[in-house]
Amino acid sequence: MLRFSLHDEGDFRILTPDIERIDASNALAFRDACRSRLPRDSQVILDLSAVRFIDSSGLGALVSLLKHFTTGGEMRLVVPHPSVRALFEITRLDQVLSVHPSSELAAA
Amino acid sequence: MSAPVSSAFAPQLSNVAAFGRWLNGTLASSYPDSDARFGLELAAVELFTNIVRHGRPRSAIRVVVRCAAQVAEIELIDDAAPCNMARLDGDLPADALSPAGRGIFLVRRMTDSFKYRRTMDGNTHTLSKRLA
Repeated sequence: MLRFSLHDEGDFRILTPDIERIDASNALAFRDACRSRLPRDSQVILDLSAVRFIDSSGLGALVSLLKHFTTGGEMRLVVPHPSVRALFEITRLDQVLSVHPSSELAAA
Repeated sequence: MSAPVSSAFAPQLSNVAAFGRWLNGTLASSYPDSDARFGLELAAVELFTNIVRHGRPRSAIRVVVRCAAQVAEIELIDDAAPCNMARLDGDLPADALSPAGRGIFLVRRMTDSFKYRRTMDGNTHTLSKRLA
């Protein structure tokens, strides 16, 4: 069962999943659960502070989520875990996804 | 080298997390640095997922973990059809958004060695990485 907390802070809607792993076993459910909670034109910070493991399926889910947002919408990621954040660089996804080590930097 | 530790997992995507957690726990007793273990766990999970998605084995995927002082080795053994070797090669596609090949790229990038062997009954994939 995927759990999320959702609140507004300034211009941003902050979605924080309570999830440790995003992999092939749950990536699609994760993506769909996020989509259902986020209007397409919203400015979102997806806080992945709890995530300590992500695989290519999880990365694919985040890319798919990015495509969910239309004009006026935006998604920024908070990824404090160094090994997880390094994956975005290794796969060059940091060039297409907005990835930050803290929520303060994401909101700046 | 400590004695090999083995287990088996039904070839279903719903088992990917269970496999990953088991592997992480098994490696943790020999290699306490979680950052060091991350890459090898990722490579093994990617390989497991690939076997399930593309190999479609009939029986459980067997896993054997061997931990030496500095190097860990993981074998994944399945009874699927032979692997398409062209699928096991390759770099990231030029388009970073394309998912194609990302998993196998990570298998190669996160390990020191990745070997594939076809046996009479199936496939043996061997990953190894220096963890200490």
